[in-house]
Amino acid sequence: MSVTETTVDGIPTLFARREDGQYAGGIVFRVGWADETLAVRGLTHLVEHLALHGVAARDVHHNGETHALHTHLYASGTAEQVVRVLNGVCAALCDLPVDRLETEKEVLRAEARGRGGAGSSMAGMRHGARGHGLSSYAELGLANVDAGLTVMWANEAFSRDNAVLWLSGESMPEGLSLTLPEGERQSLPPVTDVLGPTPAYYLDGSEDVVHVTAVVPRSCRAMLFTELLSRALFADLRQRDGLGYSASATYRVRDAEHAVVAVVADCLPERRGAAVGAVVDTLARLRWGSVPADELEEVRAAALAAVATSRTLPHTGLPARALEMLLGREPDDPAVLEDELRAVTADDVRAAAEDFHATALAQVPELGLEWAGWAAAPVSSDTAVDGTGYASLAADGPTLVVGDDGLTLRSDRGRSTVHFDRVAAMLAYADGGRSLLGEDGFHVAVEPTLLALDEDVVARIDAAVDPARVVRRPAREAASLPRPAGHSPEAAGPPAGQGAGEPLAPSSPLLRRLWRAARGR
Amino acid sequence: MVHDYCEIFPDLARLRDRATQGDLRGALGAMDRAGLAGVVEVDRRLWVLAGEAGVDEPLERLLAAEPGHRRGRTLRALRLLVRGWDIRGTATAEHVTTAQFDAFHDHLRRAEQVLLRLCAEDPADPEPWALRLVTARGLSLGIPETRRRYTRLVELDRHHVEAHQHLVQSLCPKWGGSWDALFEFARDCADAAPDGSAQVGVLTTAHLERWAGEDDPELRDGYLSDPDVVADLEEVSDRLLAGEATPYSWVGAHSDVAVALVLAGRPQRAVRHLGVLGPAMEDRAWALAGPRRDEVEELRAQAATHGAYR
Repeated sequence: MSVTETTVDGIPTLFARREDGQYAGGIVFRVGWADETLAVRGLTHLVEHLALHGVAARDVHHNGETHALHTHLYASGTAEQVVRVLNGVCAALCDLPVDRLETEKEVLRAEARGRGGAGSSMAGMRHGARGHGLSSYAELGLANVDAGLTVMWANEAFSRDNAVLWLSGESMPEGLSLTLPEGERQSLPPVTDVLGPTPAYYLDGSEDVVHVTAVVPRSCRAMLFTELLSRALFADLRQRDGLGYSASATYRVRDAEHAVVAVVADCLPERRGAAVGAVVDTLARLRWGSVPADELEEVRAAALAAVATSRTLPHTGLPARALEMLLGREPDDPAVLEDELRAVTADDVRAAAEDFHATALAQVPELGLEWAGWAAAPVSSDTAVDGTGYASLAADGPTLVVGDDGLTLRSDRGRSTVHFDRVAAMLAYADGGRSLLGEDGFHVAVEPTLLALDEDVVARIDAAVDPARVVRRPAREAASLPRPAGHSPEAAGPPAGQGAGEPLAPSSPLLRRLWRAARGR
Repeated sequence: MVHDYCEIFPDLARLRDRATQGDLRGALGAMDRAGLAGVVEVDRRLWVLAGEAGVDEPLERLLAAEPGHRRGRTLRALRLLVRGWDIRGTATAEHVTTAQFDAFHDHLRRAEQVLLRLCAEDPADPEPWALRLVTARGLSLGIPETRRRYTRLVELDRHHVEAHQHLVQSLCPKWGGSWDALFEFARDCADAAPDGSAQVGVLTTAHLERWAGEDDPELRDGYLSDPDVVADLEEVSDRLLAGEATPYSWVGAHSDVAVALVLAGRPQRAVRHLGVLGPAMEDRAWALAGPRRDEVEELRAQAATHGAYR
């Protein structure tokens, strides 16, 4: 049993035979939200929804998923059903049902509400408001997206040269007609870093959770380390200390070279500090303590069992293998993988813990982590602009400086600067409010209800910001406008990072294309 | 009055001399050997060494030669703690300068990181856990985290006397706790202690802290002579005298209860403890005796003529 590589309608294809009578298939495209800009955040997800909408297949299990670097559309059932979905998806991608645009935007907004909007602010703290950092941001660009932009994105990114097809069944199914436009394999978006020295932490008291993420080289030792860490967190925080309900660690492939290991531990509100301390101790134990031999053998056995499954049932690994092809990584040889897993020692696990520590970023509900030797992540801009100052209408509110090159909002707690040539997105409300998000993650809100502004300030800002980065929003209701009474607004809204990042160079052809199209709107 | 543990206990003097006069390695090696009744009180030995600036130079040499030396690293952490607290001083927070706080926190953070690693390497050693109660207090890590550390410690050593004393401090309102939480802990802790153990004395310490923390002079004067408080002190007194004492920490327990009983107007009971103490008296209790020190001295002389010295 093995995987066959072939081509269907010009699309590189993986096929694996299976004996259970079932058929399945999917198309993986090398495009995801990390390829977008904040000003059009949600565009890929929208295309995915439109591609599936036209597929009248209530009787077939099918779905779509948009990730950082890839989008996956798939189905399972009979050969005929799978073929019908895949053919329908490709037909829809070539001729998007743009009359559905506004309806699907509503669906996406509902979906976002269902899962709580944007993800954790950690990715934004590490990468800024672009590339991999965009997972921290809501799909706020949807308001901006029109039919022209959506069709352009589908043509450029959902091409046959930017896709891998996978199929499984008794034999190659008949009747596939997957007409996708010609195009090119998209290069990966740049990996940006706005964080500064690591390990680093920031405080977020809005949830009773400790998050820690780290970017580590992909390896068997890192996978086994993650499993051991996950077990240790559960044993320490929940079973021993009763600090919370869930505590675990996950290993997720980021690209060809790196994986993201993410720790999430919730806690009782009155025991937040203890949860922070316990996570630090558990991480330290993996780094410096002894690795119980029986535990290492258990996680090794589980990993080997997963490899054995992929050997005997090769179709189960097809979507992952399709993604590896798109990321430019050779598929893992099961025999090599098994040898590597068998070779992992306790010292290797400790070395993986050291890798984790070296790039770790923590979000803690209180205490901070300076006591444990971690650096404070920057929560105040390291630059400010010169220009005209505007006082707050509140006694202790932040003041705004408007310069030729950008804006600085300054308060007792720090300052937040956004340079006009580094705006990731500007929300422009019809009521006159402006909210500028910098590529480094810093945020400046220009609210006529909070600041004593001249009449022409907003017009000056509008003239200075690239129209491709502007997201037009309707006027907010009078009751929901910010008011100066009560406590003053935060100077820097999370996520925030430092200002040293590169400008968002149109470094990939896809991004260049996106900017041109957005400007021409 | 003798306050110095090295004067009270010749074995501690020998340990100190050995450590500062060329054989720190040997002194640290002897540290974990059993003392009276099989109880070691390693922490008291460590605190004695950490009070000596003369250990710094031999300690650096030891750790240069053996970077992994466990007791050496524990002592280094404790030296950082002691030096940090010396910089801070004992004044209340509003009388400590920013520069003092910065240096204090810097020392404590460095100590904490050594201790964190020691705990991770060998989770079965109670000593770094006990010292982490002190870093938690100085670094304001809060009661929940301090409690977690305390729980880890008592899993390893149920009757770690100093740890109970550290938690008493952390639970005081001046460090973010409350009197209710303090007394709940102190009673449970004293109840769980074997007769004779200095652990019984945490209840005395709690009462003395409550008394010293009372700003209203009238309330303070009446506090220790309140019948309920006197009953607590008498129970502690009976239990301390009833069983086998802990190797070193009996000095603190008897000092506390002797002074508390004098302040509570129960001098004849205090005599029994002063008899046990002989010339010894812990400096903290002595400081609390304040204007009543002459009375304590007289009672001690009385105890001596009755031949009640231990």
